[in-house]
Amino acid sequence: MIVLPENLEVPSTRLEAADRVLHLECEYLNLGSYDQWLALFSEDCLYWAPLAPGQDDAKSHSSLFHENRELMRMRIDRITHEAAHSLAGGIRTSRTAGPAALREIDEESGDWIVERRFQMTERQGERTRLFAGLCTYRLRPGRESFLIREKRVDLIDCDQPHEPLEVFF
Amino acid sequence: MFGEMVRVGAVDGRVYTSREVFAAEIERVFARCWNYVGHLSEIPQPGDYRRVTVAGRPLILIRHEDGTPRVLLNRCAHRGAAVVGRDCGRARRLRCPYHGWTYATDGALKQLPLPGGYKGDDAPRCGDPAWSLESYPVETYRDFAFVRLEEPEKAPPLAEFLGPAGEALDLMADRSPTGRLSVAGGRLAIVLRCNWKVYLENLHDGLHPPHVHESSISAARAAAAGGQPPEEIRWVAANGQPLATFGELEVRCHPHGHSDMSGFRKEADGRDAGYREALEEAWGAKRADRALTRNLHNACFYPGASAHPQYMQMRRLTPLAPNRTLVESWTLKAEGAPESHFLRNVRYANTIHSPSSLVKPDDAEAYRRVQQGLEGSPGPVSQHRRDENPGPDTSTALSEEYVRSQYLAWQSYMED
Repeated sequence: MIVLPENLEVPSTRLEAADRVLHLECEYLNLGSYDQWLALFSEDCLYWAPLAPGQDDAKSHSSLFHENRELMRMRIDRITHEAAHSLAGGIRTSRTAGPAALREIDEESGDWIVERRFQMTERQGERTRLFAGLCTYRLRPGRESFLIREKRVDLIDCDQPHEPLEVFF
Repeated sequence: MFGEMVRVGAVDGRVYTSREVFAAEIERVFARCWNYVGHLSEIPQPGDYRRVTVAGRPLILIRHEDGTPRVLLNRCAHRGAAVVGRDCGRARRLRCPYHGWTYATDGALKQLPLPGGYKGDDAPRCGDPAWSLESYPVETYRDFAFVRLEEPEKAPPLAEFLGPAGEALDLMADRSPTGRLSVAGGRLAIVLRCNWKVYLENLHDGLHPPHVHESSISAARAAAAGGQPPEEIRWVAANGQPLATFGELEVRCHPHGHSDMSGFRKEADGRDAGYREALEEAWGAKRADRALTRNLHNACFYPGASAHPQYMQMRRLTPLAPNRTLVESWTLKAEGAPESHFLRNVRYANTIHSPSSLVKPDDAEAYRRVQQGLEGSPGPVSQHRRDENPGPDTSTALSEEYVRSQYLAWQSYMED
């Protein structure tokens, strides 16, 4: 269940809806259900993994990932393509997330800003890798549930060299 | 001995896998060449420094108090501890964290604890060159700094070493009407599971894209089907050009193993109001036009650097092991150029040079499989026979002439 800041109350049904979106977001990636995963995002969504700790600018500073829906779609099409040679040996991932915390509700947009720590283990071919960091979600409230407007992933080693990063964290 | 391992049409696989060859390459190829260590904009003030590893040696690129760039060995003259621990910073003095030996920004020993504890003529003394941090010759070309660790008698100065390949750096600097560039937007770094030469041998390889990049080409085409695709998609889709198009890309092979390729991923630059005029005023019409329209792709400064002037990308290659190579890349921002160019170039870096690039994984996989195949089976491989004898000035991206050129340089370094 999402941890609330002090002095903020929201209906439990909204909390449950947000919790469900966050759960599915993680599980669809673990299962490789990328189309269902992308359907959780808004049309104007953004997937961003900064290159530098605390990076606040994605335009004049490079990023590990900085993709709108169109580019996210292109990545999905590439990693699910039969000629994606780098994935010929298969890829399996397992993400586990810590408790989510609602940091704030954006007064202007009504978006929920939710954070949670995560770890991901990736098995690709003969190699196993570990990733860890903080996920920050901007959730756009709808009538019944939420759409993910932005997912930001701050890896603890974002500024270090990496072997190719192919799937979303 | 090593030179015999390489013949046209039959390269001994151990050239890519042997630890002995790798160790010799570090000392004979990398230590004897000019290696790119950074751009002067990265150390703008006296005392500014960056750590960098060249030919396996831990170095410090630092701006001395007289304004000149220096490269020092990051090893205390006392017990050998690394004096600098941060990746970058600013320091008036460099003090070893172990016993406090302290050095000036040119490496001169300035202070050591209880010097009376040493006796004899060869005792450590402040100012004695024998007790300085070891320093290496640095030369710059348009503010790109290169270092050479060994000084063989016949080694050429940097400008001569670069020769015609220096044009790529000129094209970058000439994109600023002041000639001033600055590294901006962070460093992207990727580790490849292959020998360093496997990476260089792909720089102008126009035959691989349809096969290696089939998945990203297909994804990009699907993304582009909707109409006017954004640049990111067009950059990825560019690999899907017909093979004949790659045969039209001119590849030039220069002395010392350097090379470049022109014509790939052209952009229409120079339409911004006032920009072309500013360049023309600074450099003249011909040179300004060249800076804006001449596109050198993956210009190679053998053995350790590569540039892509149009997108203002500089890359450095660091061999980590026979089967591991680090490639770092930086975006250069040209003073006085449109901001939109810089922002585009950052997006280009994200798309092409980030570890998350859609193009990179299948390249990296092809390199890894070359490495895997060679490690598992001794014997020669046919490495670079395609389009023999085209002449150094008439080569294309469908020829392996540039690989032969790299091996000529390799042999000249390794046979000494």
